[in-house]
Amino acid sequence: MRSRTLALLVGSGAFLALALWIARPPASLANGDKHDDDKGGHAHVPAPLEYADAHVPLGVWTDPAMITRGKEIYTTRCAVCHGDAGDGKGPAGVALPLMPSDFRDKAGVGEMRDNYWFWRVSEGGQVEPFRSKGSAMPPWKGELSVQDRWAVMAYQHTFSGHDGPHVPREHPESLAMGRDIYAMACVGCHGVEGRGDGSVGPTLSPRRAPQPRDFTTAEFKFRSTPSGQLPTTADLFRTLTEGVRSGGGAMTFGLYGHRIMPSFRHMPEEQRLEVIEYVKSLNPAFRERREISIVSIPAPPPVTSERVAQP
Amino acid sequence: MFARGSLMLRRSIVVVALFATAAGFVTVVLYAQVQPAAAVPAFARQYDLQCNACHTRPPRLNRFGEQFHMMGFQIPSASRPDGLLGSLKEDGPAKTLIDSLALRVVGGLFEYSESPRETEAKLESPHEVEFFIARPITPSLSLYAELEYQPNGIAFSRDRGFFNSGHTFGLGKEAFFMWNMGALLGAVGAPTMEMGGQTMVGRHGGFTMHGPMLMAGKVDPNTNFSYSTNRQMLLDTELEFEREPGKDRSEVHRLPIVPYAFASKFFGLFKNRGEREPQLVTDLVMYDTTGAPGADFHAMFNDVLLAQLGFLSENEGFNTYGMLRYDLLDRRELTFNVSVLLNWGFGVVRAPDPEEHHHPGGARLDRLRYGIAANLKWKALDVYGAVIIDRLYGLPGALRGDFDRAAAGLSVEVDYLAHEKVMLSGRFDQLWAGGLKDEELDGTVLSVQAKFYPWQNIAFFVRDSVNLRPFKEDNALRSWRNQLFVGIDWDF
Ligand code: HEC
Ligand code: HEC
Repeated sequence: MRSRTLALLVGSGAFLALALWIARPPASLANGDKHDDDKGGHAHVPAPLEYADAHVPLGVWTDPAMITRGKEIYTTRCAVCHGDAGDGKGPAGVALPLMPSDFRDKAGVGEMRDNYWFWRVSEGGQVEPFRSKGSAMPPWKGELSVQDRWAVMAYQHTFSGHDGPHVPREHPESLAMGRDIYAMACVGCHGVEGRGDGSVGPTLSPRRAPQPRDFTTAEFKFRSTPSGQLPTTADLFRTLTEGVRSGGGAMTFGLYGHRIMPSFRHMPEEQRLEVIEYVKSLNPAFRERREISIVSIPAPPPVTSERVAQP
Repeated sequence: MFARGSLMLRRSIVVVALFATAAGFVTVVLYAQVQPAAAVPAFARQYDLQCNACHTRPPRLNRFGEQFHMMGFQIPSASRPDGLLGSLKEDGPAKTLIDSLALRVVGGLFEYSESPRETEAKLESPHEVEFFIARPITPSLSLYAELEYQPNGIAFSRDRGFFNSGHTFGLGKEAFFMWNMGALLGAVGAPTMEMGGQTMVGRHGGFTMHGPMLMAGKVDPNTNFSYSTNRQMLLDTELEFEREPGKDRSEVHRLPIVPYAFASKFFGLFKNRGEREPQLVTDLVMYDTTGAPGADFHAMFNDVLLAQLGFLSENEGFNTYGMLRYDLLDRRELTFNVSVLLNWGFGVVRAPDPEEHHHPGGARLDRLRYGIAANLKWKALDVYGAVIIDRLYGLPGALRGDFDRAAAGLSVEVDYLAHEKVMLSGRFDQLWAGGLKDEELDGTVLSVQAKFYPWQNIAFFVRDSVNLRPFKEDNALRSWRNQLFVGIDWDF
């Protein structure tokens, strides 16, 4: 009787689950981004790794000289489509199948990270997912210098009515997704503030194995950059994808090489980029450094599955 | 056998124990050297992770392990998009199969106990061998089943009482599937987000809910509680019974040592009528069911509040329960959470016959159970405790005067990772028993244990429990003074 109840329960449950899985509802919004809808198409996806380190110097956003310079560029090159007021209703803009976005929308602009912005101005609509949506946004990297692009961004930024620098601190919504992922998957080890002081560390293997990284210091291990410098976004991305293997040692005998930090390779790429953006936001040095040349694609160090943590 | 306090015997016991430990050790070393890669359990193999990523030390979970469990045995935010099919494709059937299986062997190499009147020594074969099958099938559905082999299974029958059923093999404590119903809520209109292949309800930066997760089958839902009984360092001991020559039925000689907070707590109750099986004071019941058929739902809100609701069968009746856990703190190598439990059991136990106390009567009783638990993890220290109060309803009038219908229990355990290979634990258990007044007796036990992990998945332990109350020969709860165990806990 008992086991029949059990069998019935398990059976019907399994059936229900199977039925629901087969009739799975369509995947919902990939990143819960309200601008990621059919008509706008301004999915504020994370900037690709080539541009992920292209942060805009803090001072640019509020520098009057930059803004004036930006206004000139904007008026001659962008206003046709984006409109004099930044509302996306320029004479050439209104006719486009995919309209330019409204830069007066404070929330929409707030979601846009600086490296995304720079990427879009540089590459225009030639990149996915905008290309397949028929974007008419031209690429500007050939015509405008880096400084010019910064300037025009600073001017565009003024439409939103926000007067501080355009950084995550001022726009927490630009990191909302990364923060949620971090809270679910990283806090236990890396700690709420990224100081490597989650409750897991002390028992992870206290004396021998390395502790979860403190993201707020300058010390990082898995880098393609010279020692003493911060890793590139691509480096962080790779560590997240591969995880970190233990260095073995007496404690891990028989488990040599198993990971002490899990591999997050099954996390969709976009979400891995989001959580890395959040990690970078925990350490201001990531956006202040200038030693990384903008838009250089760092040659990935050989993909070693043997990235091993040394004590 | 009954040489009172014989020094010789005691010394030989120690020698045997040391010898056995050493022999076990050598076997382990040999085994581990031959097959190092296989010496980790299913999930560690599936995710290519060290045990300690999820366990402070097995079987206790750390914060990340709790999260992993809550997400249906998947790396949070990173479930394999095509689930089982993906593993089959990527790893091939053989590795997929091996990575889904695990084995746990728990054994007392040796047991030694002493009362004022006797010293007794016996060598024991492993208590149990558990075989697990555990695997996510899709990002939102996973399977977990436990098969159990007991070389010395204990069974009960109406005619013989407790008896040794010899080798028993069967479905173990738990066998269930866990299903994330987030997508279902999405289908009926709730806002959802895809988090690493798993559907989560809510909006980034706003309200978020993980789950509800449905666990159905044979489940033990207490992993989410602040005091998780199936994850304690100190294992439950075995029931001991005796059959006196010439008698048909056995008598319970000594009750197991269990976390009293979760014990059934009442003297004189029965599980059922037909078999007349007694509900022992130390039987673990809701919320520590050691697996019962039913369904359990849990969901986590804004990463801090966990709510749980469920229905589980127990004896001739069934339980409904709700639990809330609030994760108050998580910073500076410190986490702290508090849980409250409320449970109503409909007809879950049977009162004794008012005339003949040793027979089950006609009345099935309801049980109200409520309690609070907390867990603090700070650096190498892990402290968890629970107070649980029980009250019975529906007692026949004729029994009222003879029966105490309220009881309570307290269990507090402290684990301290003194060295990365040594976990020291202590547990205090207090039982304020209820039930038949002429049998009713409180119990207080202090247990200490040192567990040595030469490797992450293998532990040897020495454990001693002391009865802090006066010895009572005729009461199985206190018919002992001290119990010492040497054992092994081995996970593959
Ligand atoms: C030919 C018309 C056209 C011109 C000229 C143009 N844009 Fe665009 N721009 C668009 C369209 C259409 C979109 C929306 C589609 C998309 O995101 O690719 C867009 C999108 C953008 C975005 C992304 C906004 C978001 O919400 O994701 C930025 C940033 C941008 N333009 C900056 C500029 C700047 C700076 C200039 C001048 C240097 C400029 N654009 C000139 C048509 C134009
Ligand atoms: C089970 C614990 C654990 C979890 C969970 C975890 N990490 Fe780690 N992580 C570690 C450890 C330990 C190290 C340091 C390894 C070393 O120093 O060799 C590390 C290192 C890193 C590094 C490398 C920094 C460097 O030195 O180059 C990054 C980046 C990182 N983690 C990101 C994350 C992110 C993002 C998450 C969540 C999605 C996460 N980790 C989850 C344990 C963890």
